[in-house]
Amino acid sequence: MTWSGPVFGASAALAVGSAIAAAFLPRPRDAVLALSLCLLGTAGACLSLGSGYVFIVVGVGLVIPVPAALLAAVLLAPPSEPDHRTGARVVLAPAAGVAVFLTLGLLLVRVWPAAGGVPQTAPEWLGSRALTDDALTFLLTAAVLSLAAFGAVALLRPRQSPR
Amino acid sequence: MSLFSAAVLAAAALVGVGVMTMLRRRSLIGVVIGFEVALAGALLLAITLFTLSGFESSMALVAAMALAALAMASAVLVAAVHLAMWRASGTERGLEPW
Repeated sequence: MTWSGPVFGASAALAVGSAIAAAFLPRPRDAVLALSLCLLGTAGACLSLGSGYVFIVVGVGLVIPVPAALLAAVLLAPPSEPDHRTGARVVLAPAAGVAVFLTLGLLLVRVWPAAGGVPQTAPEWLGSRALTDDALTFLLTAAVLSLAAFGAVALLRPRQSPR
Repeated sequence: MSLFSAAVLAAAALVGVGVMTMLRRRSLIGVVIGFEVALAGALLLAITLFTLSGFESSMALVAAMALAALAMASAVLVAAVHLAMWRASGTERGLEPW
């Protein structure tokens, strides 16, 4: 018995359970903490699937910084509580979620090709692709990150104090 | 159930829950929480499909990098927009002087 099965089971359960908690918890800051656990579970699932590099990237780049930014925003400027819509959305939202799950899950399990070949999950493959076939993706990723950084600074720059 | 099927179903569940969260929440922060959950599902889906199927498996790393960058950028930008809106509304004096 290998370690990947139990680790994947625990990580997937943590990710899906935390995601459901993030959807239903009434207080936004609790939902942000649930999001952090969901990302941690996703990172663990990636590790159990043999992508150690993605585990490190998701663990370092997403599990702490993303919830930290959202938590800072929630604590500085709290949104309304409870943060849930009423009316038709109460029924529409779970129905849409179930429809997406059924469409993606059942279709992809059936139509995607069976396993084969040697997995190319070493970081060297990422460098190779980023500099050749997927150079445009790499540049666009850098551009998106730069735009977000400059946009955030432009939005939150200090105001001129009145004289 | 094989690991491939379980991983695809878990990823699809994350995307579905993310869409549901985006539709349920009212605030900008709530919507971006759902977006992040859906992106986590898409990332897991990319890793699963490209790594376990053996079809262009290095594409999984490229997709994961792009999705992780998109998740970081959207979180930072939405947090900034949320704070800017709150500051512009003038309802919270504690945020000034910035």
